[in-house]
Amino acid sequence: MLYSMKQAFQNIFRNRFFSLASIGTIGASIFIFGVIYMVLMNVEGVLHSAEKTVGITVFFEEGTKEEDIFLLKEELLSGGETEKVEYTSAKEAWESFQKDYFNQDEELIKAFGEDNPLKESASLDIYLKNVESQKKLVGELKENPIVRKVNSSDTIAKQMSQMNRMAGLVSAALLGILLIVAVFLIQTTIRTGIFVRRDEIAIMKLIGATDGMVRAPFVIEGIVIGIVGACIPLAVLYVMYVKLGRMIVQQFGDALPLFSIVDTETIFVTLVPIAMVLGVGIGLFGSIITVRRHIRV
Amino acid sequence: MIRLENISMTYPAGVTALQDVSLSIEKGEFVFVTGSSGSGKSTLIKLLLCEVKPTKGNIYIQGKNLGNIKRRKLPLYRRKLGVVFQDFRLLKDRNVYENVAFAQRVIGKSKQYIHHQVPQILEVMGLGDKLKAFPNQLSGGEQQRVALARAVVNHPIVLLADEPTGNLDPKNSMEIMELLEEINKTGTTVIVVTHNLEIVKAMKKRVITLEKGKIIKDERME
Repeated sequence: MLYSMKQAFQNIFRNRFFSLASIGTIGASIFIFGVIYMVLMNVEGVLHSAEKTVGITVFFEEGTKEEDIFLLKEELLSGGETEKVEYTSAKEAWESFQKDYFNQDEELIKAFGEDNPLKESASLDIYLKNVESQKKLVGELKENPIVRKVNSSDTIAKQMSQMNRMAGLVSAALLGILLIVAVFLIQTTIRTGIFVRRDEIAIMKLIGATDGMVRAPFVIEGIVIGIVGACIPLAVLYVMYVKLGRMIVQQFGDALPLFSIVDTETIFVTLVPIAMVLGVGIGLFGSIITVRRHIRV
Repeated sequence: MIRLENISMTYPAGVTALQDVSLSIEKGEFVFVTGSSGSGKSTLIKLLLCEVKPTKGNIYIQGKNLGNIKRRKLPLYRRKLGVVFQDFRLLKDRNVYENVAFAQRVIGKSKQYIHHQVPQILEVMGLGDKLKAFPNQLSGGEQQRVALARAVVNHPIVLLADEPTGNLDPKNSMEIMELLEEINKTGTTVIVVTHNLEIVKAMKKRVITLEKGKIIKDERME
């Protein structure tokens, strides 16, 4: 094992050019993956907070009793798709209207006296857990006989989930291409190593080394390249995220109230293991297929 | 100990190296295989090392048919053999000690064992003072002795030597032959492929002569 590790490091050093190229490509793949991951996580965060504000408002038929509305509220809450359901009575709706539009104009308020022009405006404000369930729920509510009208922000919901899906697809395609390039470069690196050490490999075979013994240094080489290729972009991403995150919050924090940066720990707790698995995986896969093809006892 | 039964070997390119060769070599024998270039001498070594498979016939070593050895068991079989070549095949970036130790490391011997065994075998080969020298600092004869030390350090039952004196002057060639004879006296079967007839005559051993892939003579030199 110690021997194989020593040989692996020697190989990396001897084929510095290819080793660096492989580390670079794996690093670039993981860097891009990391950037995409961070963006997606943050978009997800924005979406999540948007979902909490984007909701459905339900108005009821004339003469609908308050207890029927409460019954519907309970049903919605127990359905599991809603985050929050708020009831606004007709009186509250009128008070809120007065506050928003009459600008404390006592005269105007007095003019209406005890009349409530919004007496049919009792409503339920529904906040969803997931924007994607909105369409279904709106459909169900419209079927309900006590419901007069359902207001929902369909377009925003649709656009947000489409944007999220699109970003995911583009990043998956980009990542796929980079991973293929990385595996190809690892193969070239390992193949060069095998060529450089061909005499040693030939002697090893003749004196009774097993496949595993001959192949081990190259597989370790692949893993080491993978680990280094993962650590470098992780370090860069960490510094970048901390600095850039701070900058974005300072610059746009006030302008975009919905926008908040997901904290570094939350991002890296998942990104580090994923990046390591990706790096080691690419290294291992690339080296194993190469040694299997080129080294047979 | 070694038995070849009707061995024929034709390479994929269509070149026939051996045709219907049968022979047997006893345990502890010292045998020369001679013949001109292309007579099939080196193919014989390759067959015994399982580097190539015969197109026809069977090879038995210690009663075991080499054709039945599974690929993953091949390394274990090869550990029973020692092999030296005309071009020595030493690792140029490692010193004498490391070149020999390499053979033991590959089969998983402990560091202490290697540390004990390697200087001993190099002493026997007359290289006790060259442990730290690199191959390019050694003469041809010395390099072949390092290769010989590497071949025998794991106590093989058969030692195969493919033109071991091909790159050596007569004096060094004879020294190598004397070492091979010493190794043979310990009970190791030695098969030397050579076209150096001077040496063959001087050693007075069994000589198998090949021509165009066939055995044309199998005699004991007196």
